[in-house]
Amino acid sequence: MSYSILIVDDSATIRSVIKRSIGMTGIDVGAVHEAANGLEALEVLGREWVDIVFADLNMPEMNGVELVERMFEDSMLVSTPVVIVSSDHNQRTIDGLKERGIRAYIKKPFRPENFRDVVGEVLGLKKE
Amino acid sequence: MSFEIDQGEFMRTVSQTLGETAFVFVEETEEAHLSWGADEILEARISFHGPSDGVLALAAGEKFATELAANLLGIDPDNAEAARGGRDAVGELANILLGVLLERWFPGDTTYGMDVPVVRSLGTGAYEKEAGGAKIRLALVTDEGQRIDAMVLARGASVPACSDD
Repeated sequence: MSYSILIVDDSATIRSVIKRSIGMTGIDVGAVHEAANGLEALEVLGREWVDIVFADLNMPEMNGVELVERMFEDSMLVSTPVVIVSSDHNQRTIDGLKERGIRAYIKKPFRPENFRDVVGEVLGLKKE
Repeated sequence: MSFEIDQGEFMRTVSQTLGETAFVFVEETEEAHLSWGADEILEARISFHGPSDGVLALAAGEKFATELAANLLGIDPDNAEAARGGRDAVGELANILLGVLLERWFPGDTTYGMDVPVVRSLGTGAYEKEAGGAKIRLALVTDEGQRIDAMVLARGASVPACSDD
């Protein structure tokens, strides 16, 4: 089974780095969708099936917190796993988002193995 | 709360973050003796808010910014994606650096936040004028002779409304 992913970050460079890191996890990646902010992400989520969302927090137009809130208010999106990938290391922010239902939080700077651990756990993949 | 930044800690954090993220290794230098190696400087500024407010700035010459993008992406600097990514790379490195700094400056349960980075191109004269009010400023040089500056400016320092691209 291949997994469809959505990467949401206003930095095209970081979207590429995340895509590369996920590719190194060994999971079977199908479609890779990209969005530069929360609004663009919601548009993608409205028309494409996505198995897991990786989203930044600090973005123009619509930030990651608003994206999470909008997703969790939508019955079609509430069960889509969200992983935050952010340079905001504020513990209050992290705790608040976990209470809202995000599945994991990866701090920038990250290493590819951070994604391997998180993706396996979130998608329920067994470690080999 | 007063906001005193330890120059040594700032230097160590900048150096460590640039090394881990973009694989560039830097040491402090006498800024007057080092050229930017480019006519235009890409400067990223990000405001932060918390027990104290301020602005972090990170600046690199345009050519070196392309190398930073290449290092982040793990591709050759001659690759077109690296050439397109210089501005983005400087902004994202500033973003990552500020996240690490704020965690150290405001530890524990402290509430703080940061804005979106804004990147602009400046001539060297304009850059020096803008950098004049920095609370703390590091002029750094890589092991390959490239210059990169990091500085913290006080609350109220100018941050452009959006990137000038």
